[in-house]
Amino acid sequence: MTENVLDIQDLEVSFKSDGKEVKVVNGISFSIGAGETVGVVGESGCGKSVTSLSIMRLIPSPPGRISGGKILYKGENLLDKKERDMRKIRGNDISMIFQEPMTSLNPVFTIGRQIDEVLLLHKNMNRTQARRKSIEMLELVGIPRAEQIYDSHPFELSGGMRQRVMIAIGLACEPQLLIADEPTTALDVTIQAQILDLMRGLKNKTNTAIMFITHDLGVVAEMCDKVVVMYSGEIVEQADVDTLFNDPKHPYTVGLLGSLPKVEEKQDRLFSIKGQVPPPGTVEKGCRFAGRCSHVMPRCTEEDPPLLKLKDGHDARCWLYDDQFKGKEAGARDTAAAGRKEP
Amino acid sequence: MTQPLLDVKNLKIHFPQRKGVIKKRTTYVKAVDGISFTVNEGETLGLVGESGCGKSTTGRGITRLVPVTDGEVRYEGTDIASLSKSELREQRKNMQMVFQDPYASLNPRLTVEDILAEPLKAHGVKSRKERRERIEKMMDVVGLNRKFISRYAHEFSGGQRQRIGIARALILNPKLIIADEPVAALDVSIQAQILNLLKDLQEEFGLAYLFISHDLSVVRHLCDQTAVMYLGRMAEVGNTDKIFENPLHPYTQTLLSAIPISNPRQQKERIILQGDVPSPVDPPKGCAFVGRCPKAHDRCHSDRPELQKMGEDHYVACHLYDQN
Amino acid sequence: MKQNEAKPYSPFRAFLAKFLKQKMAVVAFAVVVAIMFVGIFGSFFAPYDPHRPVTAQYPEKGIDLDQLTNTSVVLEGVMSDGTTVEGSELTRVQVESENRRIASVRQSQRGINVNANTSGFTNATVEAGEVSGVFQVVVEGESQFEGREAVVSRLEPVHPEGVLNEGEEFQIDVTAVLTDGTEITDRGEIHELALRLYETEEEEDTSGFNAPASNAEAIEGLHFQSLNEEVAAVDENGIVTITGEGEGIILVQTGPVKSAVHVQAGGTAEPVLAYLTISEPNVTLTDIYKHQPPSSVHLFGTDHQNRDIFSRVIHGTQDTLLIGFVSVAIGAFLGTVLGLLAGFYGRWVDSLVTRMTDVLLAFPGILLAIAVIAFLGAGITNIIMAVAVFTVPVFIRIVRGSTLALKEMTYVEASRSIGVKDPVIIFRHIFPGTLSVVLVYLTMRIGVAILIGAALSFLGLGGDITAPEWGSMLSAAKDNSGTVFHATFFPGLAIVITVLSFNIFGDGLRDALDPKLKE
Repeated sequence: MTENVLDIQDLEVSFKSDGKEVKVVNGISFSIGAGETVGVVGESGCGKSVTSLSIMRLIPSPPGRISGGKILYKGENLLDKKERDMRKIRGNDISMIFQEPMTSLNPVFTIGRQIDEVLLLHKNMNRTQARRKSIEMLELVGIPRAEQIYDSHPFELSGGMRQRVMIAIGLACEPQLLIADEPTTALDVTIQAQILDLMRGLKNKTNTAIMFITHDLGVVAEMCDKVVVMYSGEIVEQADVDTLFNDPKHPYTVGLLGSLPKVEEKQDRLFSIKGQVPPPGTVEKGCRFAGRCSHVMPRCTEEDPPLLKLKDGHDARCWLYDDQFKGKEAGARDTAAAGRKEP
Repeated sequence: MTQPLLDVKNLKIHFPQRKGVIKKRTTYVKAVDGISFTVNEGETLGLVGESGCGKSTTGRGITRLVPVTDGEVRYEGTDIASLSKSELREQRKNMQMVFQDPYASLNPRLTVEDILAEPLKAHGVKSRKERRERIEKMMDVVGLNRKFISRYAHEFSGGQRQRIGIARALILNPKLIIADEPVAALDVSIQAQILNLLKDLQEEFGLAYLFISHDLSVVRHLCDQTAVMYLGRMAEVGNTDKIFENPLHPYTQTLLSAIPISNPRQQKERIILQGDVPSPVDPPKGCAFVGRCPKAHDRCHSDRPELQKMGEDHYVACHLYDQN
Repeated sequence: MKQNEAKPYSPFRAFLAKFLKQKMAVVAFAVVVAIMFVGIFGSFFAPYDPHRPVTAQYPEKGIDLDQLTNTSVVLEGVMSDGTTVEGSELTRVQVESENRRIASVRQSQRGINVNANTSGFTNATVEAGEVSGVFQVVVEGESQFEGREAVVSRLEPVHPEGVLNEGEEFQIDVTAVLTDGTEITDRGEIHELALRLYETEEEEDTSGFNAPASNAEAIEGLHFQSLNEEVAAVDENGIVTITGEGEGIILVQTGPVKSAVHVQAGGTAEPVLAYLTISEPNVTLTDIYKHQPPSSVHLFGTDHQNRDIFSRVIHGTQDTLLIGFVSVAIGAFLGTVLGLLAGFYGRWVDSLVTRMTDVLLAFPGILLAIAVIAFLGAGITNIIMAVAVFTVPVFIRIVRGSTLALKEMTYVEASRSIGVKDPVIIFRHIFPGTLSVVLVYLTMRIGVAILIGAALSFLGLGGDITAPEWGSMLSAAKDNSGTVFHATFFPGLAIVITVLSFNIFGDGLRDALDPKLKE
């Protein structure tokens, strides 16, 4: 096995509210190999953005706190690093692209200056070198008239262009890992297609590992090699992208896939998961999904299921697949999959 | 053919924009620039397009939340665009809106009861008891627990809020609901719940929807008819299945190909557009899509294409299909 | 949010919980409540009538005037054999005040009667034959008692024991007792002190006010003088040489204080009067006719017209709060209505209101208020109007601003799409949205209004300058503020505490009402 760029082990993040500490990320572990794209999917409040901010050590503290676990970047635990060392890593080894291209750029500085900034900070370049590299980066992300754009301000650009600039900033230092937090959510479909196309191309060119955070399963299917499904602060299922979409195990994953309206075919009625995501800290015992699950068993509300290894590289946190129930497994899996129509 | 419930003809909505400090010039943002479509009783029309194409403005223009510059909006034969203020107020109970952002569209200082009572009060339901009865009934209909009646809007999650928004729109028994991106702000699992609810309500009350969305998969799922807008103009209108199975306009084709498919085994060839949507202040002279169209030819630059019939219930505005 | 607890959500409770977390604001709120209580009920528990001098009120209150202005001290003579003689038995007694304007003294049956006249301090000399003593009288009032220090009250000499023979020498030892009670035994020190004390005394003499001490020869320092040179001679250091038989008396003197040392050189003799003791060498009295300092009778003292400042401050609360509340209430009401209309309807209504606001805001607040008063005339009602006039534009601005923001909210659009009438939308959706910011500004502006009101009164625009209003109190007391501390301090403190409390309360309110600020 090749060395992982990022290895998250039992990460726990807590937030304090009303004097109570609530775990919003509860012991998640996954890894990203070099050049690999890992999708982290889940609905709002599942802890996916908090996870990405923890990697960058950008959790607002207080009220937030990384309360346990390890984040190994090339074997070194980022949680043990001093703030000064972290600054060297941010933007240089690991960089991040945010959802809102409108607010992620500083409106008072030119585009060029904002790309130069990271280069000057991390790459020991002088102004002329930085300028040359910045323009090169702008061209790389497919911005026409890069020289001209270099001197313009963010408000002169459209949303798609700004997101390209963000990607250019993110990739300027040739990072080992790019964390993209919903990079296309705020964009229109045609622009989203452009950006995804760009990111795919860049990945092949630079061999950067990407952690792709999104709620859009379509984007995941298109972009990622591996998928991590999060629900209420926990990983409920992880698998390679083909397995996950064609043989999902966890009732939540099955439900999510079933509730997507599909453009390729007309469905009469969507499968829908009943209820809503429980607020963090409200489920005290048992599976966090038990309240919404259509296959809930008495055991589910009593014991917290562990992340079960189904086969190599495919884990699911569900009692349906526990060995003790092996006999029933086949039947149960069929019922679970029944909610979803085979394509 | 019977009279359509809503008949929009050549609707134009232009916003004046003043520029210049000394020499005042007024330019116009042509948000909606001459579109026509109809919505029949009990039917759903999906209005799709990217941000800035004027689909939301169209919805607001039909309810006259923004002034209509030109054109006709006939609801059961009455031209809404020319109604007086009080007539309009009366008319509004037939046509209700559901908004995109369930957080902003409900006043956080009011309880569910206050919010749902507002349309009833505005349209003369004076008895408190009657209002309460209708509110509770409506809460059942949209799947809200009755005991939440005196809760404040901000105590609810996004999905529940959208249910409140839908209840507010339905409580006056309108025939037409204009839903402006009602599921765009919701999570996938909640989105499915709301879409199912909208479908159920349509069956139960015979509602017609004008469903405004940027999400083609949602439109495909919900709508009988689809209208694709680009830069304030109509690109393609027709039966949903026909449009999705056989898109004619290059823009529709691009849009459909751009949707990520949630199956890694079914990836398809994608048409990647160059550039961005041009400004609606100064749209291209000919076809609005000309600057980005992979199949543009000379005529597209000079003549504006009109909708032409391409088959039963299928219209497209593109010079590629000109007969001559 | 899913809350299935027993308690349903209530916005008021949420607000309260947030507000109570801010300790300062809670304290400020308590102070505000207390101030309001004082404002409403103050007139019932003010100890004195704020409009009349307190001296005129003492009889009704059963306070004896004389007790405060009169006192007597007991005078005793000490003989050379150590026995004491009551003051009434002493002969040739004379008492004299150095400055009768401040206090007068006179001999009485029981001793010496001291009568305060006005604030300041003076020394009084008591003479009985050859010996004399001094006591100090302090009359508290507006004077600052600068340069006041203890002076020598008496000199206690040590008499030589037994009969002395011719040619014998001895040293006279004296203890100087100062008016503050300290005792000095070292001759050198006494000498130094006397040199310092009475040199300045003589300088003051030239002002012509002080009655010259008796026997005011050029006596410097500690001075010795023999009255019977044939019996004993004394040199300047106090060394006595017996020169013959008989009785001799050596006078020891510093400034006006004189003591006698009895020298016995043969024969028997009666003891002589050696020195005088005064039971209270430092008499403190109060000037009750003006500027009484804070005391148990008058917590905050009295002012230049001898009115009880505590009562005036309490009475003034009402006027002050009236100015604060009424003017801000008027201003807030008009401002909110105009702001809502301007913000909601826009177009010409907005232009008109905004222009008006700009014009009003172009004036500095106080100038505008002065202009309004110049137009309407002085008086508290007009102060209220004046303060209201410049409060209006502030509220127009903030309400218009939040109305503009709220108007764009989707829920307002939703209401319009339902067909709700404009007034209902304004009242139900927009006004409650502006309420929190209006409330916050309301409390903050009350502080400002009180300040401006006080400033206007201070400038004499409040009509009745004798009225118990904090601003006018300050104004009236300002001329004496150099010497009288309390007359300006307490009304000033009242203003500071009130304005501060309202501001802190307002801050707390804002933090509690601001939905963006959590925890």
